Amino acid sequence: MRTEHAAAFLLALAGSAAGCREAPLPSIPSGRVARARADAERSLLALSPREARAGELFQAQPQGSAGLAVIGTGFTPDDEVCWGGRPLPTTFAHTRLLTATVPAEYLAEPGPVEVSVEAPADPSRRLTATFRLLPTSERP
Amino acid sequence: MADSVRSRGFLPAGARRAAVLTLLAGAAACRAGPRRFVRLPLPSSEVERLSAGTETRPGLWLSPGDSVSWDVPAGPACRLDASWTSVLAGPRRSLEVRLAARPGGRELLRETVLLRGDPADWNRWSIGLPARDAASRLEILARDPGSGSPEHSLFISEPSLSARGGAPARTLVLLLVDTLRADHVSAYGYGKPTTPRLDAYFRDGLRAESCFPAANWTLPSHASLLTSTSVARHGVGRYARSLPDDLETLAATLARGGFRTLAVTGGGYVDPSFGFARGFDRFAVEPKHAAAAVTRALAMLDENAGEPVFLFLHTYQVHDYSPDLAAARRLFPDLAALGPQWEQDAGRARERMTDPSFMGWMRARYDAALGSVDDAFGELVAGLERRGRLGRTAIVFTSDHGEALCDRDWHGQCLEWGHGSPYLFEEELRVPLEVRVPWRPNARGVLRANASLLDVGPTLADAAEVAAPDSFEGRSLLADAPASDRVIVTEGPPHDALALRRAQAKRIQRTGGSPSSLFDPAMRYYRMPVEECFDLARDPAERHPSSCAESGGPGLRRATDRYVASSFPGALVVRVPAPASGPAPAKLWARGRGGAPALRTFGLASPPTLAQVGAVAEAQFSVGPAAAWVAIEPRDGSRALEVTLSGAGRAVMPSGRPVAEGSGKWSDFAWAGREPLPEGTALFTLPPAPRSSASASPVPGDVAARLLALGYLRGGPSLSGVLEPLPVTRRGGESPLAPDEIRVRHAD
Repeated sequence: MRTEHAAAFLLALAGSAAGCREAPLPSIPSGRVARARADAERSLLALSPREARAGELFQAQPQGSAGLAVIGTGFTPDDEVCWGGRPLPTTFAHTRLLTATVPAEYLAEPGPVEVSVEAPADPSRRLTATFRLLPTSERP
Repeated sequence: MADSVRSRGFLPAGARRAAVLTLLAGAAACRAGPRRFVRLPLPSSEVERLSAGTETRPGLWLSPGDSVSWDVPAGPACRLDASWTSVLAGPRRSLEVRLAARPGGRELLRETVLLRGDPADWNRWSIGLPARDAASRLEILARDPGSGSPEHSLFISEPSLSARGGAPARTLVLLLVDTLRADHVSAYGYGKPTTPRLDAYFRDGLRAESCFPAANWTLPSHASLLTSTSVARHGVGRYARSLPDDLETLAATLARGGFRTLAVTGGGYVDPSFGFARGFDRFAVEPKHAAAAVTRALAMLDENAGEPVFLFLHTYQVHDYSPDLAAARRLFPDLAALGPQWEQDAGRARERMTDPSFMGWMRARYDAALGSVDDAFGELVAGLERRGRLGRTAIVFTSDHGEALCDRDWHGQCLEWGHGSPYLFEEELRVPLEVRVPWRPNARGVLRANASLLDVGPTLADAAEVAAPDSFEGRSLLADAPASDRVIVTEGPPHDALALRRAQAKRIQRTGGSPSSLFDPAMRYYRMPVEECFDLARDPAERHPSSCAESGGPGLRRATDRYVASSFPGALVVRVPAPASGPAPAKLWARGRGGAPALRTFGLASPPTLAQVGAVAEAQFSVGPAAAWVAIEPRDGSRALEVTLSGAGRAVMPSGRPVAEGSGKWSDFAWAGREPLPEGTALFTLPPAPRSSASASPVPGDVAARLLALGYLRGGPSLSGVLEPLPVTRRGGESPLAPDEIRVRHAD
């Protein structure tokens, strides 16, 4: 064993022994969260994926449809994802994530597609982003 | 386990790797002994519950650049543990962990943690922290994987510090076998050896001879069991779908007491979506058989080796009549007893319901499924023993309700197979309850007094030596035996049906509503008596109803009033007796001082018609064949009401004094503890509590006409089915309601 490794072993052994020492564990006050940027109350931040080649399934689902994740903030279980205005089967995962399945027939033609998050009870809370269906010759 | 790479320090890279490996080996050695841990609490405003894989855990999101920090006191070296998921795939995430003395002291540690594992599932990471000789700031920072995109967020759960030491950790297990009636458990006298392993384990424990749930189906019964509150208090299954936020759960109580709280359930109604994950560090859904649930639970124990643990283990295997082959063969060497295609679930079996042998097959499957759970329990005990935990493990074994297995005929047909209807006979209600706490050796033998599933929470808190919250309604069975005159209520929500018992006296109240029988869609429960009383000492099978006017009947009627009234704290509750001549229409109007009160009902055979105009609320309903209750909840804080009754008989105060036309004080109507209520119509109240306001209903045009006729409104045929707040006029010559004033009048 080289000298530096022996030193490391002894150091780690001492640390391990200290870790096993019996000592009381007092309760700890609630933590504080610091955000790098403030979350909007409700926002659509990203689509995953953002683009795909026309005619090809992305994140293929068992029913022959594609899987789309919508990332944002302030989502609710009532939200519905729409693809070019057409509602998609939507699952509310949590306040920052919706998932939706896109039927294969919606993916045939290249071009931009408006993806929206609709709040049925309050149309003013609609959010939008653009998904790009690329020509088949172009790689996403 | 994460890679941990020290980014500052005096050791070269090779030595650092060696040190890390040795530290990890040391940590593994620590796992063999007891560990105590302390949670790093997350700010409640940031906490969410997230499902990933098959588990739900509480935690918070950290986007790149976000951090969470705690002030930690001085202490020895310890370990920081947590778990993470991101739900989405993406670039490899990393965290930075910093520890610095405060205020503005030197940095004790700065390490980058590269997170490994399936981002769609939960993954654990841990890191050793050095000893601190002064208060320090511990910070976890989500590092930016490059793009800064919020889709690269991390969800951090279960952060805690742990250290080896202390007494060997205690383990508390709550084993709940869904839909298990007591009389099919061998220890409760069943003829078949369905539960040899359970019987052997609990031979040195305490067995409650008669234990009853607070509700007769899974969702409300679990809501009661896991909060030790009645359906009247939590409302789940009646008008609430999930646990109210203001009730402390058993898991939260035990977490407060230093236990890691783990759940493995069969899902369905015992699922996080109903609020049941509250208080649990980890809540896993394992819908397969009990053996799989036990395997999962033991794996969770391994991941929390050495720590004090509360484990809630729930299985639907008996509910689903779904035995494993080994238990089926053990109990029924001739598997033909289980009927054809017995491996299929009970739902498919219903296709053969018309076969005369059908219920015989189903009873055999039920017993064999219980035998399978018993096998799994044997694996659980063996697993606890292998892990050195068994000697310091307390186990409570019970069920949430029983099951009718065509135990009685009704007009020559099977009355009921299943549970959750207004049936409420003993086979649907009586459940096993066995408790073994090795460090409480006096808690053994047979408890003859009636027990309630509300007692499970206080019993486990007692075993854990943790103070139960005031909201717990049950009592610890490890303390003195329950009082013999205790009243235990089981509700059948949302049917407004009740079964009450005091000692051996039992009263069932049904509304006369009409859920269909499983075996004959034309069979309706309204043919069953709306009130039945039994002396279970003389008639344990409930075949010969006794008079409700004798023995315990009147007392249980009063207890019914009290139970129903406890559903509506802060309300004036009116009991409307059933007319002797049969169902009859009744109306009730209530006017508040500063706004319309909320009206809610209990015990009606069909829903009431509710309406509201301005400060007046109206309920129209049909009373009978059973008595019903209307709760009038002031929403203006004044505790002032004017109530008009029509078709409902004469009102009587708790004191027995008839309510004259005119006024009284709220206190005249106040419920006075255990004071008996007179028979007949009664008015009484419970101490006020804040209530959220309910939305108003649309107003049919004829409501306006009636209110006009009663003098509550002036003018305006403008009420054409649309609710508009209208000024409410005083009726001729009467003064406005004063605070705390109750006025009652009869419109007949």
